Amino acid sequence: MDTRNIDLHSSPRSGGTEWRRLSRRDLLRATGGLVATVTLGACTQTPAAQAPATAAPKPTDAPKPVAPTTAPAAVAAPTAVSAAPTAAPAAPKPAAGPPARSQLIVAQTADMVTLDPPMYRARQTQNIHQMIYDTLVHRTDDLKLQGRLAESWEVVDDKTFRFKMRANAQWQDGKPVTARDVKFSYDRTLDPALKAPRAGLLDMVSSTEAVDDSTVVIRTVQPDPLTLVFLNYHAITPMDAVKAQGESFFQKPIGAGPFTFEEWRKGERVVLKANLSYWDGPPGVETLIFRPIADSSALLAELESGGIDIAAEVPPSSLSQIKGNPNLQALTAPSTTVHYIGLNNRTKPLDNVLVRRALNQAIDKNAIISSVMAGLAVPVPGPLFPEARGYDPSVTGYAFNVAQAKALLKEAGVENGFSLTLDTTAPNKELSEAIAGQLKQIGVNLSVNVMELGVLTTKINQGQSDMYHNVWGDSAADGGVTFYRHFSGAQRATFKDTWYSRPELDTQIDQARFTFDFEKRRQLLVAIQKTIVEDAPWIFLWQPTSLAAARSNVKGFVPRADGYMFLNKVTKA
Amino acid sequence: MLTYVLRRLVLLGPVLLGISLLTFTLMQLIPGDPVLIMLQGEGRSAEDVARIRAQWGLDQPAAVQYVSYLSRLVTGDFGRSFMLQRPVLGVILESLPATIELAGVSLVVAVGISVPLGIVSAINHRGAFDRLATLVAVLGISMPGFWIGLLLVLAFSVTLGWLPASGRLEYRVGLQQVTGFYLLDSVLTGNVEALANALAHLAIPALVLGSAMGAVTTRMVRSSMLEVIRQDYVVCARSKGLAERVVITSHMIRNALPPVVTIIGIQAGTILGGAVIIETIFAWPGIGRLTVQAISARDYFLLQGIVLFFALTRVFFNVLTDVLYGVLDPRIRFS
Repeated sequence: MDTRNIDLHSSPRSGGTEWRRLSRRDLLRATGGLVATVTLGACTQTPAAQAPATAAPKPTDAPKPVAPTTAPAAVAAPTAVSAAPTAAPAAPKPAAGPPARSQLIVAQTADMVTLDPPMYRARQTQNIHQMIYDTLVHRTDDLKLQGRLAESWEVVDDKTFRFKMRANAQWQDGKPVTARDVKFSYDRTLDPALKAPRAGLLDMVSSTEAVDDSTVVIRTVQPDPLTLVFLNYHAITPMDAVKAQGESFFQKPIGAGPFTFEEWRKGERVVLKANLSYWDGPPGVETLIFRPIADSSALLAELESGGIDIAAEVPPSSLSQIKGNPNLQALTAPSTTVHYIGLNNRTKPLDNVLVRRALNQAIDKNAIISSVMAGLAVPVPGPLFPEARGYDPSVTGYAFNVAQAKALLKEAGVENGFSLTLDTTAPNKELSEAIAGQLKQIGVNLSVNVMELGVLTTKINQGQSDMYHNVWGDSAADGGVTFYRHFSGAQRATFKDTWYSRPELDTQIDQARFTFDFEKRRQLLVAIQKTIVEDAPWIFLWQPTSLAAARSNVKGFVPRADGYMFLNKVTKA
Repeated sequence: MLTYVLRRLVLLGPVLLGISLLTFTLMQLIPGDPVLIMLQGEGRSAEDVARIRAQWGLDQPAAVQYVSYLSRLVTGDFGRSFMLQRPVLGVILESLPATIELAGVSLVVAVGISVPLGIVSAINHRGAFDRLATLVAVLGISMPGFWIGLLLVLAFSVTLGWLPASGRLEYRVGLQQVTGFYLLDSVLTGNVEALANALAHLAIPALVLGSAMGAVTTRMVRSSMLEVIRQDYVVCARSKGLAERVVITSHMIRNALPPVVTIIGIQAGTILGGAVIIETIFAWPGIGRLTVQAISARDYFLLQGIVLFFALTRVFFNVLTDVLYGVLDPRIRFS
């Protein structure tokens, strides 16, 4: 990749802390290699399509970092191709629909914001929209790219993508979905007059062209490896209907998704009905209802009394209550986040690597996870979670050992310990206090300082926090993102954070970010990870596990690491 | 009286100006960059943050922002919600019927419990019933509403399955919306099932909200009645041979009511505050839950509008109470 992307990558981010969410820029950095590899290969991809309403293993066009030696193309090519829908371009016959009067009620913590696709930000709204509208491509439950309205795509050059539309996709009024609808939807999102909150997730696109009814060409401002990933956020709307009806279209819209819109009582519920002619087969239930319930006690009461079937976001403290109820099932998924404590490398005695290692050795992570987090976390040995590219299981990090920690402090000349402040936010207060309690054993006295997230973020960005408990999210699951953002000296102009910086590491990080051979890239990332673990600029903590709950008769609901839900394959026994 | 009401309405101007200045100042005092806080850590580029800042006028000096906020306020424009991307006033009005319905039924519950209970207690002064009623009232005042609510949900929804745990109406009853007040709508459309369903959803939250209010009012009615009971005119009424029923209804209650009306008026104003908690734990789509949502989404524009709206309702109930005074007690002259 050329150096033009460096400017792009170095644009400052707004906040240091993220829950699962991640910026476009971060994703860019992350999958830099992915599509660039495709670019080199200029291959044609045939993304997998699922056979309608079967329980066949989910085929994906996983951009798997597996066989880069065969051909760069293989990296982004589908690993499995289901021939069914692609081979039959005719509109699918309405298949046997879901059971009559079957109804699935899903509770989210917030109501839908709008029915107009570009006009919101919230995840809860996207969960509803992606059941009404379809997108060109999407990410499967294991976060691999998959074609939706696009049957296949081709990378023409490093700034041009050509998509072939799925022939059997149709609007809920029976008209076919065409390339013009795609152009219209993207152009509308990017129209400055609309002031769409989602425009920022599409601003890598410079133009969209409908070559003919079934071919779309998308050009990007600069070579942008993450274009495909970002298209997964943008719903396609029917051009003719929106133009004819204007804003009122979005009062009762039609889409090309697995459900049709039925009713929205603001603050109460959104009701969707099964779309029997959906290209990927009819959904598993006749009626899908989303209800906003923010209070966790109300959520559990509704689950227990059968008022709702699925609670998408459940606090870890409810785990034992869910497990103790035979009518409920607890569903967990690894998250794409890690907890850590940033150690200011300019603060004495944290400037001494021995002290930083001692702190890492003095924390019994498993004890905290089981006592404070109901077991809903996995300890991490370094800055990456196990699903991230560059994670190396042979890097074991620091084992809990108080005696060794004390010995290290003695070697560093601070055997009598020291006192510092640990900055944290309200949601992590208990965890921070447990950590502070454990560090007392080696004579380190921490006063826990609970701050507003916005204030803490500013303090961290300015490098003024001595120790801070924070959460980092990387839904691209690529070590390159984490290393560049947190451990590259290039970031210190904007994000002072721990002040940690090592010129030779910066070179390695940049090299890894622009290496498109996945095996080579992985090796580079592993080497970087080893250095970072040795230098211990953080106390490496754990990867939280996200928790959802459902009634036990709900089948096929998969909580995803990125927090989104696709509910069209969910059924109720 | 009309002049009095008009004068009160004119005085509303400075009051609202003060409130708007106060809320605006509070929003300014919140530490951190409002745009970054409203974006809640969603990683965005610096250009994007700047664009949003300009879009929402947050790049202007505070004084300029306030003046433009005020000038829009005068035209009835409460601003736009950042979270919902819709006009704040519309969002508030949308959630109003749910809150008014809940508050109205709670008020009926409160008055329905407290007035008879207070009167009988006073007449039975120091009797067994009085002591029992006092005990119940003190318990009602002392126990937090959300706790009673959770216990009732546990009993009637989770264990017995008689009442819904949250929400306002089930989808299956298919009520056609006319006014947004579901009780009224189901009567208007003759939908008996919807009426029953709406009442079932109202039962626990209205009981919780109403009982807390009713407990305070019971004590008020009782002490107000006790004060009246020893008055000369009551003794006089009795001595001239009036039936006890007549003495109570036309001599005692009428005279005991003004302080009770005051307390009900004050409580009606605070019922919105109580609704914040009750609506959240019962997923009730009213203005109370909207407040919580606005706070957790850091939607300053929406929050500003809601605070202003709360202040307005408070002032409205105060004026209403004053006017009712005059109706109940002809000696009171408005000047």
